[in-house]
Amino acid sequence: MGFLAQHILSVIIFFPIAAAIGLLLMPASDPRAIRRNAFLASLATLVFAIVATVYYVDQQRGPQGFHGLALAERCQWISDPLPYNLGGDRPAKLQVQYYVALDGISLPLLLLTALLTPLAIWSSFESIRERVREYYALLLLLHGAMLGVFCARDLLLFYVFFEFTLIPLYLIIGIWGGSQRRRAADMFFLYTLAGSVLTFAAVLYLGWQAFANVRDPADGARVLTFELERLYQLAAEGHLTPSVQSILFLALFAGFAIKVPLFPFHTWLPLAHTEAPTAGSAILAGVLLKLGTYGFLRLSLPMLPVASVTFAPWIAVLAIIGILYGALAAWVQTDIKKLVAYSSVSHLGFCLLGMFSLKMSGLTGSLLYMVNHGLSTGALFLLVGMIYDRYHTREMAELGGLARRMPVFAFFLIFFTLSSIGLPGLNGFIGEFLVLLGAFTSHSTAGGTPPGPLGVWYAVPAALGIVLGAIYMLHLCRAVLFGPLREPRGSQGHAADAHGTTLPADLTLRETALLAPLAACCLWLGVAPKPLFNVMQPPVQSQVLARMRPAMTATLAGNRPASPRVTDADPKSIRTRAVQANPSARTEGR
Amino acid sequence: MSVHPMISMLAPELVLIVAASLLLIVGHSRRAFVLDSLPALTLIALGVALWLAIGRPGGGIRSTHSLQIDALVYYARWITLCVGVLIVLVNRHVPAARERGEYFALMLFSLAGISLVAVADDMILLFLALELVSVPTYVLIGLSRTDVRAQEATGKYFFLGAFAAAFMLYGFSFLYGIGGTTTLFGSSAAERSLAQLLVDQPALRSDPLTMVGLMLVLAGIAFKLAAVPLHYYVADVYHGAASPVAGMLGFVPKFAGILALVRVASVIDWQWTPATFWLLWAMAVATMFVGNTLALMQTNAKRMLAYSSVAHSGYMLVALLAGPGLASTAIDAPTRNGVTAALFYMAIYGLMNLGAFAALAYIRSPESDEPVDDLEDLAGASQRHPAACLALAVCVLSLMGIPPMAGFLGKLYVFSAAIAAADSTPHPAAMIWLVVIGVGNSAIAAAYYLRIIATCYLRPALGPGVATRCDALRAGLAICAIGVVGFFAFPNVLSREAGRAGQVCAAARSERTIGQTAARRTTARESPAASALPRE
Repeated sequence: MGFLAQHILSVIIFFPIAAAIGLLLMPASDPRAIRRNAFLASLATLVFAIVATVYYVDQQRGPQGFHGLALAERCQWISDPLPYNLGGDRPAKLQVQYYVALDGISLPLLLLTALLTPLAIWSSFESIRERVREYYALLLLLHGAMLGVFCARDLLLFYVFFEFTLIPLYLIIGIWGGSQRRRAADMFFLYTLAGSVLTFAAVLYLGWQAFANVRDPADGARVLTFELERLYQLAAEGHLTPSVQSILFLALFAGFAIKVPLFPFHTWLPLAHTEAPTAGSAILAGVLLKLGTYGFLRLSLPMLPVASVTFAPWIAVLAIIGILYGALAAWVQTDIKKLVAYSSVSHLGFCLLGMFSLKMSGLTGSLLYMVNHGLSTGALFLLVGMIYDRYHTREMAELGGLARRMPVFAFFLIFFTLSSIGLPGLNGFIGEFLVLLGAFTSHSTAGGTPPGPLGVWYAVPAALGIVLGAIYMLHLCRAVLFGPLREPRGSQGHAADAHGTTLPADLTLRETALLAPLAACCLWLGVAPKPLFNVMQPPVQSQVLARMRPAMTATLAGNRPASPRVTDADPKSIRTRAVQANPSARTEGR
Repeated sequence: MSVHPMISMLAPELVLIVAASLLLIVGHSRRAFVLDSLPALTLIALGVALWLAIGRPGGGIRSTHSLQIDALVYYARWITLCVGVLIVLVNRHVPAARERGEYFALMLFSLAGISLVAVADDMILLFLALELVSVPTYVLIGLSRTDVRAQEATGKYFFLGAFAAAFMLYGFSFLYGIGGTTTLFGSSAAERSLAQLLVDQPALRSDPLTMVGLMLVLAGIAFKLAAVPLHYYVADVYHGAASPVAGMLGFVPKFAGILALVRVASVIDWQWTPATFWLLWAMAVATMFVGNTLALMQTNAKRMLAYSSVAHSGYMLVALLAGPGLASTAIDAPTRNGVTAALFYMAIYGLMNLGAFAALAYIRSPESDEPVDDLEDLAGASQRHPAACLALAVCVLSLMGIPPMAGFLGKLYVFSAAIAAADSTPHPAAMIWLVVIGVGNSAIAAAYYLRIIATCYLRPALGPGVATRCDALRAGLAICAIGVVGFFAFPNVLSREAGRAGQVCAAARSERTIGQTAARRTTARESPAASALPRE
C-alpha cells in the first residue's frame, strides 16, 4: 500500500498505457477476451482514481482545507550533470521534470476521465467488430494520455501528454469512423496540431524567461525549468511585460482555442464528432475538449494575468458568438449527432464565458460546467450511438415516436436533455447559473474583489443561449421520441446490425448500465454539489484568482501600467501566498 | 612498445579501413560460407572500432599532425559507429553474394570518413575526409539496385557531388590565399593557423576574399546537407537507391556535413558577418519550406522522405545558426547550445530516418512484390505487417516531432537553442522568427507524414503480401523504433555526450575571443575537458 500511496498518480497514468501494450500482445483471435480485459483495465484505472481521491481528501483534511497540491511525485526527466559553472556568476541547471500532482482543479476532471473511458469502452462491445485489439489498445492509450494532462505540473510534460492525445484519437476516428472518416481525422489532427505548435513555441519561450529570471531558492542557481509554479512566478514578479504576455497569450490561445473549440475555430469539430465512432465522440466531447478549457484555466490565466484581463472581453465576445451560433446551428441540423456536436460548441462557449468573468462564481461554474458537459454530452453521444446501432441512421426525419417502442431509451434521452439544458435539480443548472452569475456580477466589487472584465451586457446574450439550448434539445426529443412512430424502412424495430446480431427494440441491460452511472452523477451533482465545491473553490482561489488579482486591480482601475511590477502593490505577497497555499509542493517533492 | 601517436589517435578509423580492405580481398572468395560471413565481419570491425573509441579525451595537447581529437570527435565516432551497425543490419540483404565484399567495404570507408571529418585540422584533410564519405556512397547506390533508375541516380549524384566538391576546394583555395596555411586551428597559438589569424586580425573576417572563400565552402557543405538551393538531386537519388541505402544517405553525408560546418564555423569563431548570417538564415528558412512543401506534393514514399530529409537539414541549420554561445555564460545543455542541439538532432534523425527506410525495405508491395516505392504500396499494410507498421509509425511520428518520440526532443532542443541564442546574437528577432517558421513547418510536415500513417492504417488492405525475409533487417528496424522511443524517455545518455561535444565549440570560442593575450592563447587549444572545468 505504501507504493500505491506514493505513486498513485503514475499508476493512474501508466496503468492504461501498459494495459494497451499488453492488449497488443494478446492473440487477435479472441475478441471477447480482448474487450473484457480492456474494460477491466479501464475499470481498474477508475478504482485507482477513486483511491487517489480518497488519498487526496485524506491528505487535505485539515484546518487549511483543500488548498494545495497533493500526491505529488517528481523525478528528473531531462537533466544534465555537466559542470555548468563555467566562470559565470552562478551555477545553472537544466531541469525538465516528470512532475505530477493533484489539486482541486484537476481532481474533478481526472474523475470524469476515469469514469467516461470505461463506459466508452463498454459501449463499443457490440459496435466494434473489426480490428478489435487495436481499437481497445488505442482507447487505453488515449485514456492514459488524458489522465496525464490533468496531472502534469510541468509545462513540458503537460504539452507532451496534450500532443500525445492526438495520435490515438486520429486513428480511432480514421479507422472506425463513418463514411468521411479520413477527411474528419485529417482535419482533426492537422487543425489541432497547427494550433499547438504555436503553443509549443510559447512553452519554450516561457522556459527561457524562467531561466533568465527565476533562481532556485535552494542554491540560487539559474534553472531552465518548465515547472508550473516557477512559471507562475514570472508574471507575479513582473518579468513579463504586457506586450510579451499578449504574444504568449495568443500563442497559447492558438492551441487551446482550437481544442475547445472557440468560435471561429470550431470547424473541425462537427465533422470529427459526426464521423467518430460512438466511443470516440463520447470521449472527444467528454474529455478532450476540456483539455483546451483546462489549459486556459491552468496556464493562460495564472501565467499571463495581464494579457488574460486584456483579452477577456474579446474571448467573451467570441464565446458568446459561439454560444448563439452553436445553438442556432444545432437547431437546424437534421443529423442527431451533428446536433449534439454543435451543442458542444455552444456549451463550451458558456464554459469560457464563465472562466473569463474572472470571478469565483464564474470560475467554479466553468469548472463544474466542464464536468457537466462531459457527463451529459458524453451520455447523449452514447444514446445517439444506441439509435445508430439499431437503425443505422441518425437522420431525425427517418425517426419518430420511438418513446413507444423504446421507453427506457426515451427516459434517458429526456433525462440527459434536461440535464444538458439546465433543469434545476440536475447538474447542468448549477453550472449554467454560476457561469451567468459570474458574467453578470463580473464588474462588481462586492466582498473586496477587484472588478472583472465582463458585465451585464455579456451575460444577457449568453442567457439567450440557454433559451436556444432548450429549443434545439427539446426539438430533438420531440422529433425522435414523440409523434407517430417512424422507423427506417426494413428495420421494423428488430434491426439486425451489420454483423447479424439482433438488438432488442429497447435498451439492453448493458446499455442501461452504461447510462445509469452517468445519470446518477448528474443527479448527485444537481442535488448535492457541495462536496465538489469544497474541493474546487480553494485552489481556484489560491491558484488562479490570487494570481490574477494584481493584474485585475491594475488594468481595470484604468491606469494601464507599463509594467505590472510598477502597479503591483506587493508582488511578494502574492508569491508567498501561493507558496503558502500549496505547502505540500515543497514537502512532497524529493 | 610505444605506438606512434597517430596510430593510437586514429585507431578506430584505422580498424575500419583495414577491415574494409580485408573485405575487398575476401569478398572475391567463391566459398558461400565466406561470403555469408562478410556482414558479420563488418559488424565485428565496427564493434572493435567502437571498443577502441570508448574513453574520453584526456588532458594534454590533443591537436597534432593536423589532427585534433576532442569531445566532438568522440561523439562523431560513437554515433557513426552505432548508427553504422544499424546501417549494416538494414543493408544485410541488399547486395548479391558476389558483391557483398565491395558493398560492405565501401560502407566502412564511408563511415570512417565521417569521423575523419571531425578529426581533420587541415583543409586538405577535411576535403579528403568529406570525399571519403561521399565517393563510396555513389558506388553503393549503383550496387544496391540493378535498374536504370539506380544508374541514373548514381550518375546524377556523382556528377553533382563532384561539382560541389570542386566548389568547396575552390573555396579552400581562397582561404589558403588569405592565411597562407592550410591548418585550421593548430596545436598552439605559435603555430600559424587560420583560426588564430582571424583572431589576430579581425578585419580579415569581413574581407571579400574570406567571404567568397567561406561562401564557396558553405555551398559545398550545403550539398552534403541537401540544403536549399543544393537539394535538387535528393529526390532522384533517394528514389533510385534501394531503401536501405537511402536510409544511409540520410545519415552519412548529412552528419559529415554538420561536422564540417561546425569545424568551419569554429574557425571563424561563430561570428558571422551580417551577409553570411542572413545567407544562412535564408538558407535555413528556404530549406525548411522547400523541403516540406515539395514533400507535401509527393505520392512516392521514398521521394517524400527524401524531401523531408531536406526539411530536417533546415531544422539543424537553425540550431547551427544559433551557435554554441559563449562558455562563460552558457550552459551546454542541448537546450542552450545550438551545436549540441544539432548533434543530438542528427543522431536522432539518423535513427528515425533509417528506421523509416528500413520499414519501406521490409514491407513489400502485394502487387509487384518489390519493396515499397509508391505510397500506395503501403495501403492497409498495418494488417499484413502489424509490427513493421508500428515501427514505421513510431519513426514517422518521431520525424513529425510528436511526443512521445525522440524527434520531439530533437525539435525541443533545436528551437529552444534558437530562442536562447536570441539574446546573444545581433539579430534577436530573426532567431525568434526562425523558431516561429520552424514550428509552422512542423505543422506543414505533419500533413505528409500523416499520409504515410493514414495509408498504412486507415486504408483497406490490398491483399496478402510478403515481407522481405531478412532477420537482420527486422532487428535493425526494431532497434531503430525502440531507440526512438527510448531516447525520449531517457535522453540524458545522448544529450550528455552531445553536450560535451558542443562544449568544445563554446569553450574554444570563448577562449579565443576572450583570451587575447599570448599567455591565454597557449592554453587555448588545451583539452576541452580541462577548459570546461570551473575556473574560479
